[in-house]
Amino acid sequence: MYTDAFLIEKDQFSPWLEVLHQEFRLIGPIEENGFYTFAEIQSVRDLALNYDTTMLGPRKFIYHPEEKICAFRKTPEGFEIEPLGKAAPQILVGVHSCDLHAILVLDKVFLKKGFQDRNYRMWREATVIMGIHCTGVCPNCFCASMGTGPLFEPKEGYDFLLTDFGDRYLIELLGERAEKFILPLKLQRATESDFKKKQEIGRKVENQFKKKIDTTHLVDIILRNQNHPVWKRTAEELCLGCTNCTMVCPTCFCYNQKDEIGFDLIHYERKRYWDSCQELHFAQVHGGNFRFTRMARLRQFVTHKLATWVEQFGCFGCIGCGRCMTWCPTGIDLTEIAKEIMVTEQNKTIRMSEAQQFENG
Amino acid sequence: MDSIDYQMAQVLDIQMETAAIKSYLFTCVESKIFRFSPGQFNMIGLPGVGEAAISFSSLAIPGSNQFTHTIAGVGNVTRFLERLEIGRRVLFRGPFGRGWPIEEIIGKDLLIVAGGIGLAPLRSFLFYCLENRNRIRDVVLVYGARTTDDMVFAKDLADWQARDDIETIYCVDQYNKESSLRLQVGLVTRFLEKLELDYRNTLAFLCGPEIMMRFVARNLLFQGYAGDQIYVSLERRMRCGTGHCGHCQIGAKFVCQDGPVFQYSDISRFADTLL
Repeated sequence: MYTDAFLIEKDQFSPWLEVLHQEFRLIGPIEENGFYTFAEIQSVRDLALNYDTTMLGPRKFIYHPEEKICAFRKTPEGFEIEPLGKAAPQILVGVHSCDLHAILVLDKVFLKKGFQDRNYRMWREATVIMGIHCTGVCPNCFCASMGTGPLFEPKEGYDFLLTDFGDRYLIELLGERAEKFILPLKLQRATESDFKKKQEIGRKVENQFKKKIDTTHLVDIILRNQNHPVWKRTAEELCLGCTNCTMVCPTCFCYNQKDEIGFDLIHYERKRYWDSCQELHFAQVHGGNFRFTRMARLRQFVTHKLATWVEQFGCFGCIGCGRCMTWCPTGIDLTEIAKEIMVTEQNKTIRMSEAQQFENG
Repeated sequence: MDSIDYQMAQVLDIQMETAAIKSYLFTCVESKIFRFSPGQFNMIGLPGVGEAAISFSSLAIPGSNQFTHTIAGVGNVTRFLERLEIGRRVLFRGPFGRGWPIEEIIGKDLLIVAGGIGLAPLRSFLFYCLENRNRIRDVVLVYGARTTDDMVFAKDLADWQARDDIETIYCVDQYNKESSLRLQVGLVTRFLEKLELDYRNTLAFLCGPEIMMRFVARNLLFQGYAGDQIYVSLERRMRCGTGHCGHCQIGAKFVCQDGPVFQYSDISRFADTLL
């Protein structure tokens, strides 16, 4: 696949986006009521590319909170299936490394071979993604621990990747689509020293993380401790079951469906909308509920992100953005849960070796 | 046409099984060959109502696009499906999931334990076994229901009991009505120890309430069966059937894609089951 890297002056960058804006919906971080949020942008001037973090990741523009997945029309035979609409081309500007990884994770979920989600694929293909490297850390993020930052390493999932050099950006390109967009600009090609500068920025950020988690044996440790007291205690003392964690998580993919009937009583739509494993109804079946307790629901969220996801998709479900703990009303921190489990594991190992010594001695 | 796409089917025939359970013979509206294997399921529903995962209760007829579902009207969707009449259309997607391991059964003894409407996915499997009867060894069917009135597939049950190449044990919790079948009273677990099967060469296939499968599986483990010789078919409420909606997840498994049939040892290691 085509790759290249250039340097682009910031004076040159905004007019270039303006040109692209004529053809595409432009989506990026803007400031709204003191917070940053991903939104459709009216003017490139509104773009706040030095943002720290947003409540919702850019996931909502590819995997929408609510969308139509099938349409029907009532006929004398019963009903007929009607065709669906198309995606609008859009550019996603200023996606941080963690959110880029989150999109890669969602790709694994929705673009599985043989079972591709029609809507997701449609919007994913219609979206040009322009990532940007962080120049600082947020109080709750730990992407370096999860291997998803601060620099975005994989050579997939994006079209452009920006690194802020003060008065200009290093702009890395991936794919023919990116080449076509950048061609009219006639930019200066980046050199070895520019990449060194980028690594330098990455290293500087890496040293600032306050939150850390050791992922070496994390999967085994969590799976061995599905009945650890931490689940029950955290759930009963702290968890309100508000579903915030799953709503803000950029890799959460669960959805529910509902059918809506038009006022003409002829047209029907089947819609899907984000659902949460923290809701009581989630694991309900006829005659019972497999996650009836709040403990079981909290455990589902944390074990899924930190352990079972690896067996399902070959990567962690947690990309270390820290949104779940930032927006948790009681501040439940999944790294703290994991650490508490690790402490008991360590104690167990110590006790085992003491017992062994006692036997040997 | 992919299994993930919405398709339409028409009701050809309806068969009463019990007061609350009916079997429906469907045919695809679009003419095509519809293939599926025993233990797989369809997402079946109606516009304006929703969808439910229902397993096939018949075998695929080669070259045909017909299939049978046996449905108990107990939930939001199935209460609507219950009111279907011959000629009406339903919406479906499928087939989904991994069915019973039909490659594994050659040369084995088979123990099939079903509870209530759990016989439906095992019925298609039994048909498959009987078609390939000379390639497998002993077949034992243990079927339990709450009362005599709750026994489904009465005609098949009588047929199987009349055959001499399959041993049948039918039991009910309450013997409330005369029946032409030979019935015993008790739970299915009561009859497992008396079976003369060699646990080293037997595969067990379980479908029924999860609590029944729990006790049957534990009983078999106690008898010496290994966890991977026991297959269970699980039920979870699902929205998509394609491993996207997340509702049916048990630990690292999607019941809709990795199941609904699992080896007991593969699924019982996760929390949030009754197994």
